[in-house]
Amino acid sequence: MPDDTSPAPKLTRRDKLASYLPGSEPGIDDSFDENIYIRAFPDVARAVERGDLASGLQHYLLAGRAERRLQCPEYARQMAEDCATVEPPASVATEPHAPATSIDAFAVSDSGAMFLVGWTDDRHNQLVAISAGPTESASRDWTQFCRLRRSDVEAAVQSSTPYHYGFWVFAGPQDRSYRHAIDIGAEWRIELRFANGTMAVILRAPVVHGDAELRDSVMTYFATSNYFGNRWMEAFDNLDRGAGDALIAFNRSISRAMTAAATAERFGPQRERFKGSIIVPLFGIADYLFLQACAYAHGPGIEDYEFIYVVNSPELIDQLQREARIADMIYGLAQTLVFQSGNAGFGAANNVAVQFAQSDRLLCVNPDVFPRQRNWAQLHSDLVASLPAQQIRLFGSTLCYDDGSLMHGGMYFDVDAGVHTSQAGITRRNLIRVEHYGKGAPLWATQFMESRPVPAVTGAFISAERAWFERLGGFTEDYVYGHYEDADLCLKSLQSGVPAWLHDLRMWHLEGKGSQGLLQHEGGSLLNRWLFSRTWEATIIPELVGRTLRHPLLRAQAAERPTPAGPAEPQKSRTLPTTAAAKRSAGRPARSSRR
Amino acid sequence: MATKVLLVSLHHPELVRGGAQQVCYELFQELRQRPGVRVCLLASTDQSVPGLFKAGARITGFDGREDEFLFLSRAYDNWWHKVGEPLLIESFVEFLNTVRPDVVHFHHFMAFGIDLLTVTRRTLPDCRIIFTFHEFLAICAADGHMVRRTDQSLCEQASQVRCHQCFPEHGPEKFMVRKLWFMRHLDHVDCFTCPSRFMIGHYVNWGLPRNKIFRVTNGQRSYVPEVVHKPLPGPKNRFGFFGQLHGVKGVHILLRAVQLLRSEGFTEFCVEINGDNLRFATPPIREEIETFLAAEDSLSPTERLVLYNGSYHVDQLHTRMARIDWCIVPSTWWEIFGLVISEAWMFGKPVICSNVGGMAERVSDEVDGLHFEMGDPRSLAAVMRRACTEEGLWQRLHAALPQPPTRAEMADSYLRLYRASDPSEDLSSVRRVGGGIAELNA
Repeated sequence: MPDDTSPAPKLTRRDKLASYLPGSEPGIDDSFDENIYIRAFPDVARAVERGDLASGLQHYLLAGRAERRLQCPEYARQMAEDCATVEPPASVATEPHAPATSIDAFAVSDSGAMFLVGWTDDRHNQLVAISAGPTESASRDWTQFCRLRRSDVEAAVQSSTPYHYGFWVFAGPQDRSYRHAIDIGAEWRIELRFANGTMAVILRAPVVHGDAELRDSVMTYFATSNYFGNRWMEAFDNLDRGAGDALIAFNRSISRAMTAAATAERFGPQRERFKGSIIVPLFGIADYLFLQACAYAHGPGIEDYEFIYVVNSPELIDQLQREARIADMIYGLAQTLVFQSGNAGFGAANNVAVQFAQSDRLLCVNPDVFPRQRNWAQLHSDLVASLPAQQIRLFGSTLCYDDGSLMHGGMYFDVDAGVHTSQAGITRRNLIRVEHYGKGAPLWATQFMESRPVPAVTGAFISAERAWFERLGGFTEDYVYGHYEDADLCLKSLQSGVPAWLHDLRMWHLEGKGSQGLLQHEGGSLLNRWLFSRTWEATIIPELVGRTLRHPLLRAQAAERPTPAGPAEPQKSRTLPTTAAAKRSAGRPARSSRR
Repeated sequence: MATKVLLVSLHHPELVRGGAQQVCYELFQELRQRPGVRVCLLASTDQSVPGLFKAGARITGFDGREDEFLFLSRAYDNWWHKVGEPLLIESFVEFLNTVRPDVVHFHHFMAFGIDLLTVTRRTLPDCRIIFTFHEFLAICAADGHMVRRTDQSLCEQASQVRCHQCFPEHGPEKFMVRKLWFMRHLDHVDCFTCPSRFMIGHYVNWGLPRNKIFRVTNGQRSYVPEVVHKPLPGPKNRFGFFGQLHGVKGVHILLRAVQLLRSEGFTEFCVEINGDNLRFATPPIREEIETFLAAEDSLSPTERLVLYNGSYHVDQLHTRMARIDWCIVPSTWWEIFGLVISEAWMFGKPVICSNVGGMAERVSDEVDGLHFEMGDPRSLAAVMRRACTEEGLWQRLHAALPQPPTRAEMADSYLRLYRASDPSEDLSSVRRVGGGIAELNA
């Protein structure tokens, strides 16, 4: 059967979509076309002609994306002109009248996870099933698909009715030996079946990637997908159709493989027992090792603490080993480097570090957190030794921006309610949003600075009794890369009878600067918000919504303090609809995976 | 028992010319002659002189010279100012343990790393650590010049946002961390010195404690030969520039002033440019200077106003100075001290200089020299014309020239710092001048 992947690249953007696979430029909108871009913008064409720019793509990445050039009328006009002469591709079908269809990207991982991206004009003949595999017996099947906008197809089809022509599907791994079964270069059979019984068959050789690479590609694609309607609602609706759970399971298998092989190297003076283990995951930026060593070293009491740096970037291992040796000579701190084979994510990285901790107290600290006070170690030790157990079992710290204002005085939850519309009807759902108390407030605003129980604290600084942390199962490793594990941990703790507390240790936090931020992390954050909302909606609504403490345990512990409870809530008149998802998850404890 | 002093220098003046290393070496040479003092010099070098790098070595001797050593710097991070090679640190620690100095006097941290202050303190807990600032590199990431990249104006005060404006690719928070990084290491210093008062103000504003900073002027040996020829009679219309030819030294301002005078028909003067390192100038400045000098070379000798004499050694100063009447210092940055000013005074040459920073502090306008508006070639051209034509001006200024500080005076001041356990108490003769600045010498 002839392959259906030969139509005009201007229409399918196949090469550009393939760029979502590793090794190419992230963040390129799927409607970007080099030729159209150059013709639409004469200033760019002149710059390329002069040699000031290498290509239109370079201009787009450097400036055009920020300038929203793809949304300019000139671009749309040029695209329409360009596509006007192009015939929509004909799919190859075993029976006539199958809708126009194309596969733009097809990848398989070492363990057999599969990722398929394409589009179909199934407005009048719904896509009902996809199967793909090297043989008919070894195929993977989907009956639910993630749908998204494809502005290139919209321009070609020239329909004014909003429709999600694009689709993608994902299936998780099979087994570790899968790669050996793949016949590299051999074409696989991809079947797309439609409601009227027609079928499109496309033969395509998959691109083979490592598991982590494929995960990153899928997350990047997910981060950059466009939709009609509310982006969150549409993305979450897609995740509900199985892709979310499949991606979570896939990521978990990747993380576990990485952390299972973790090894460590120790530097500096070692003790049988320290007062605390400061755990810092490093990703993409090695400088923080020596910057933190310098900032933390100059103060009384620091000799009672050890530092454990978990390396989520294997390419930095050599440099970090050198820096750890230098830091040992200069500062004399006890340091441990934990090596993994890749980015296991925030939760798994912290959990594996605990294996190597030589203390009964764990401090999970972001690389971009620095002490404001020289004697912070002494302050922390004194705090742990003097306060009641319920106040120090799990606590966070006030954190400050570099400009001197407050960045974090504890966390609370709020809810964004939205709707998703489809042919099946209108679905309402709640999305949980995590906010910081006092963000941007002056440090003299004591209501945000004082010690008190709070719904949650940021993982940028968490101090926890090791036994309690382990009893909670550590950080839940379902979350991809990072975000929401901290709130999840605090809610697990609250559910188990121990609310998080905030104490005023007053650290600097360069929020968002602690690691290299890549597009796939945005995709991970989106997925994590979906997971967190699904897991905790029934717990959070209504007792944990808003700034005011309504949860009985929080109120009780706040009342035991000599000072009043937290800031007042501005009155809102809003009812929060209970979604089907919330009903399903009511009473279900958070999933946690013991590392 | 002799006081053992280790001087740490950025470059050796034999390898790379520059003010900071010149001052450090003058101090080294003076201290060697003092009874009760045993001094070593550790100077950095980099891969620009690859022949000095020996396989497996990190610190070596230098040129057969007693007590002079080279630190073979590599893997240097020019943002955080640290070396990334553990063996270098190890070698430095071993060197400290070998020499066991009572005093470690840093004249720079560049090429060594600011964190070597901390490792020095850790290795020798009881030694005195002295740090002499020769520019503003701890405060300012723009080559330590405190000249704003946005508009080339002089920067009065660093802040996270202001530094971000000069370096938009780095967020304000990065400058907060940079300052934290520097401050933590500088905390280990017992005493700081600056050669000028205005510089002390900058560092105090930045956050260093005022009671730890002392002014010690940079001294030099005299380069004046025993036989000195009297100045020739006649118009004083010969100008000289001495120094490096990169942008902040302002040679291009001088050349533009020459062009202005030439365009006005005033050509009864000449200018001699002495120096090198044009390769370190920014491309536009370099192109301007090269174009001007090429055009000048194409003129007949009678039409030429500017001569480029190239680089010089300090031992050649007396011949170069003998060819001029005035020394021009047209720097477009603060210019911390200006050794060339001392050198000009040594040879009896009044200085025409920019009206800012160390230049304005040392040269008193209309008393022993002349100021012009920094960066303004018209202002400089007017002063040059006046210098050539005003009867008696040169003589009046020449007669009022101060004696440049000697290296013996400089060494005396530093020895007081080396030996005092608490300068604020023991140095009872320390004068507190305006702004509470502690003067160790006049």
